[in-house]
Amino acid sequence: MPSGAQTDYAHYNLYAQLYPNAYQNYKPPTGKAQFCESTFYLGNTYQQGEVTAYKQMVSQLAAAGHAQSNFIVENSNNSTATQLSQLQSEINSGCNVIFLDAGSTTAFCSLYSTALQKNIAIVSLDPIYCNNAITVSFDVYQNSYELAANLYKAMNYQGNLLYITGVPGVADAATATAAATAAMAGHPGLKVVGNYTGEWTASVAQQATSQWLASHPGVKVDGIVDEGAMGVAAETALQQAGRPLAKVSLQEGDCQELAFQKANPSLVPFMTDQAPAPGAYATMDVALRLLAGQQPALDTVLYPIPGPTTATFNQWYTPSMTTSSSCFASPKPALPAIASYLGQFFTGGQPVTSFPEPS
Amino acid sequence: MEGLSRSFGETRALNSATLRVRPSEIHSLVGENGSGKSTLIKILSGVLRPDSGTLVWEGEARQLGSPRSAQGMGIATVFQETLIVPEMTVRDNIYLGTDGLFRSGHRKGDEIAGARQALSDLGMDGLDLDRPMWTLSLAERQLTTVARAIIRPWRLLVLDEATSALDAQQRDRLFDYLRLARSQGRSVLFTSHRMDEVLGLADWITVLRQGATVATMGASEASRGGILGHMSGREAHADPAVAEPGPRRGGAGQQSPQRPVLRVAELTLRAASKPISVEVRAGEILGLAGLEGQGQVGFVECLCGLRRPVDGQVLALEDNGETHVVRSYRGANRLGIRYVPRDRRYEGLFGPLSVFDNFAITLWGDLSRLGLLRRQQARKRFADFAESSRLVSASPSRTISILSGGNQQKVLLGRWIAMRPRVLVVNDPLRGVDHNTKEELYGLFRRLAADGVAIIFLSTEIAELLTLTDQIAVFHEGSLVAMLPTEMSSDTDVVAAMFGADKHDGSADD
Amino acid sequence: MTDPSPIAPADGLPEPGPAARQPARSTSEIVTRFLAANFTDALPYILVPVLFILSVIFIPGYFSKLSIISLLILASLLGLASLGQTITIIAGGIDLSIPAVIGLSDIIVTQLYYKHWPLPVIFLAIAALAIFIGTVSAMSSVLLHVHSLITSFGMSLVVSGVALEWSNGAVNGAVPGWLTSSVSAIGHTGPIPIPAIIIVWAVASVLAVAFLRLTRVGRETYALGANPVAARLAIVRSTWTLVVAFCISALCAAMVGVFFAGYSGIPDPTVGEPYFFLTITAVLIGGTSLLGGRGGYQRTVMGALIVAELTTLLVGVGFSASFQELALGILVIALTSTYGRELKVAAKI
Repeated sequence: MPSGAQTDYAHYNLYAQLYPNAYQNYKPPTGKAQFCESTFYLGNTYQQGEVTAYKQMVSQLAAAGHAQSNFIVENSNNSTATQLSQLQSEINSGCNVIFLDAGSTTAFCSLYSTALQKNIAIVSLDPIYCNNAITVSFDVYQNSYELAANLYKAMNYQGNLLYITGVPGVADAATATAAATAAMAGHPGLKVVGNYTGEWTASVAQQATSQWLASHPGVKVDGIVDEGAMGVAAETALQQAGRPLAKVSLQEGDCQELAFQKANPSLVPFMTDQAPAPGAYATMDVALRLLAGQQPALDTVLYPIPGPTTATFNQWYTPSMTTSSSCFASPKPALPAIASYLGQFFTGGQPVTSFPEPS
Repeated sequence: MEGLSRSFGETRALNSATLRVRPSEIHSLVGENGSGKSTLIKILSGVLRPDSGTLVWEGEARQLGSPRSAQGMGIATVFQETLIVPEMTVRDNIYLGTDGLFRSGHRKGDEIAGARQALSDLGMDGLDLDRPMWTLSLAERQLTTVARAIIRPWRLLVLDEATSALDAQQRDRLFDYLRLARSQGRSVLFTSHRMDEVLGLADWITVLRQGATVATMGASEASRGGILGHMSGREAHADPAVAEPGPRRGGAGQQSPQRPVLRVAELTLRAASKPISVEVRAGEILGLAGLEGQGQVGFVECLCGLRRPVDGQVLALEDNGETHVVRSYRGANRLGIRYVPRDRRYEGLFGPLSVFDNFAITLWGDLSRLGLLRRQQARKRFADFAESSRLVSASPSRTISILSGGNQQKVLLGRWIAMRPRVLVVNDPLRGVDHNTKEELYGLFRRLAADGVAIIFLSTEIAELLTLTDQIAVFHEGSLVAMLPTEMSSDTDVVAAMFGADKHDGSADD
Repeated sequence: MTDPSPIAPADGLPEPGPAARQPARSTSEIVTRFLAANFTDALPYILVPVLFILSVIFIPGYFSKLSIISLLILASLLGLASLGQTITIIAGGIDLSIPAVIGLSDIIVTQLYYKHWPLPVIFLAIAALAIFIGTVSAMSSVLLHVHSLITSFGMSLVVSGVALEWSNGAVNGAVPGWLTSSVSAIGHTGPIPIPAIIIVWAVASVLAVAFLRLTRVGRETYALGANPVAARLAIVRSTWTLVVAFCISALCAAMVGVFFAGYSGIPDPTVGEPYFFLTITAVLIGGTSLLGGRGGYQRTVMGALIVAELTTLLVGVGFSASFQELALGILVIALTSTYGRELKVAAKI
């Protein structure tokens, strides 16, 4: 592991398993590469943003003659069995690079080795619990820790907190909660008064928060730990219930959050941009390096999520964004940092002259 | 059994009834519909629990909690309804209920032997054990249910109307078996509506009336008239079905012939049957008779538009001479032809709804304005009907399921009568209705006819037809074989026609 | 859906003789019978205040205007979604497409308003779509001779597929401010300090009860559910009644979708998903039977209040979401088994 990346692997064991580099005998294909994606969540703006980013990048590569112009996407709508057969069919029908949103951390392990034998590179966007592929994901623990720590600092380490968590049972959700809790250590003035799931979905988070507020009429809410895409929805619930808004650190970087920050600058101490486009960009970066023959140091690359600061805010925010928007901010401000960070993981092969960028 | 009482809601089915059966005895239980026979038998078989009373079996007082405990004591019951599983084989039906959760109750060889023995006892030696039940005739099915009862070691065999489907030969063979069992020290309790069976087979007879035991007698003391008298509480009659026939239709009081309101033109029910042409006049009561499945039900369905005949038409005739063809059920209704179905439970009653709702459901079409109900008017019609039919009911907003069967039937009739029919088609409306209600409803039908309503009355009780109708149309094999003027016909004439023998001319013109 | 015992006498009750009709009764017997028959009837009406009192006891500060209004908002959303469900269940059917219609309506409102369509046109479009969906569910059930459980479920898949397709490109949505205010605890309806959704629910409740009791279609709905064969023979307009039931259900679901859009402002096709079983839960807890032919909307109103109160109470006392589901499930089983016995219980005593 490169020395400059150590901090991003803090507590990785809560959500990832590390294996050595699997691509030592990998032979990159010649000619135009076929890019594919296998994913499992349907009807989600995040997933839609991901596909859009990939398509933009693939068409740039195709224009330069490096890739097939079509981008194949298979979506299993939450069925592991369906994704198994879809992945199998992508492996058999000429894909050279498969970007993977795995619906299960273990169910597709045997397929990974089959793919590798056929010189197909599988680049996963989430941690998987076996070898023979490469994962490019953000550092969940570190990210959540920083978000929470900045929130607590802005609250002067005093006050009531709401924890709004992701889908119960998913490793990322537990990791985020563990990190937020760890950041509370040594600050007895902070109290968690509510802990419920918003399932990473705005409408669920809003209803759950409304329900919580109705059940706790006398309890003040000073800070909200938003474990992903739910912060603004929770604030809306506060507003509709006639309660004062709370401080919240926002992590998804979508238009809603940027608009909220613009309208309530004192309430948002910290923001990151865990939007789909930068994530797609990072995986495409790694895929191109693999195709150029470069070797990764290990099988899981974790990178820190960039985000807007007060100085750079206006690079991210545009006036058309409102708290009802469901779009994502343009990733352009985030990309340079990602590109330079990823380089330290790779050795050998040919250099990649230009990386395509989603808009 | 002593002091046996049992109520269902407000109705008391058994009122301190008693029954004593000795070893080596064939005992007959008789009574009209509603006398409590079935309830007593169900208590004896463990299906129902009595509200009060004692059961003493072989000297010990017992509680029968379930059918299994009754079977365990040696009481085997054959119920009135032929209870079989049509898709299963004869052998499986005989051994129904003997298997445990995971294991078969008997070895296959034992089952085959046992089934053959039981069927042989009942005279059905040649029956293939692997035939599915639905291929058997009704008589064979009934005997199979008897076989089911006798494969277990039994001390008391209870037969509730178990001979209804059997022909004479099968019945005699069964009776031989019963007499043999009697000689072995076992006992039989049976119910039957056929006096010849009761007098021919029983050693002792118990008569129930209105839930109480009114008479017990030995066979030697019993006579047809005596039994009937006890059953009805009146002096003996030669006619067992109706205790007191009302004044006959026709005769001196008949008015001048009315105009026809319904014409059946060359109606063919089945491919091979003869066309039927009949005219029915206002104020006329036309009876329909026939053995089971001979076409009278199909005829009724064609009249009210529920069925399309193979050929021919049903025409409603207006006062001004216009004729309209009956093409559908709703069409028939629009023409004033109202149909009262046979099975009130499945085709008539809205169980959870109130008495009033059951009555008024057909009226809302006329009695609503802009979709809103005109309840006052509907209530008035209900009150009028309740009075004219002497309907006994706690309150019209109570659910209809608490009413007795007879009163339920009144409400269902009222539903159609309140719509002022021109033609009222009734399909065996008084089956299973108690005596007094029958009388009240006969009066109702007569009054309707006097008001000019044409009534087509299908009945399975010949005596009823002879009492109520002007003419009786008898069906055989899908054709109308006789049109008997009621005044001049007897029971025998009707039965003869039912079996296809013509007393009068076979065609049926008016 | 009834299943008569095969050994029962053909008419349901044995025939009494005329004199044997009224057995003598003591006063205590009368009282006990009355209580047994009516207690289960009254149970949901008793539970509503009981749960409220429990909430006041266990949740500090609960007895305040904001809390009660928040509770009523939750109950209103559920109550309106369950309005149509009550009618379809009484008619002997069931509507499983309610969550899908809620989602579709949510998407349409947010999307079209963002594109500056005039509101009356949007509402008309949604209403027309709802009527179309309800009619197809009902008609396919009649024509295919298949229970509406199946046809409405099929409809639900089609509708959610359409909603997902439509929303896949959805990037922005908007709703008018007054719509958001209509579901906010601090919202006003003109001069009245109550959010509009509660008032809409109150009015809808009165109309629903009147519909079932005072209209011909309402009466025919009960008959259809009680005995569809007898209904046909009693010239009840079976098809029309079922169509009306399903159209009302779809319209109510669409209305709830509009309110949800006001709630969050974001297009979300899955926003109705919790209502898949919750509407049935509210109907059952209120005491309307799945067998059809009995019950009424006033009971579902109680059912919705009970579900909202119970959820609020459990959340307030700190129980997790999974425990809330457990508690609701136990309540449904306990109550429906009590309701189902009322006639038998009264007869046995």
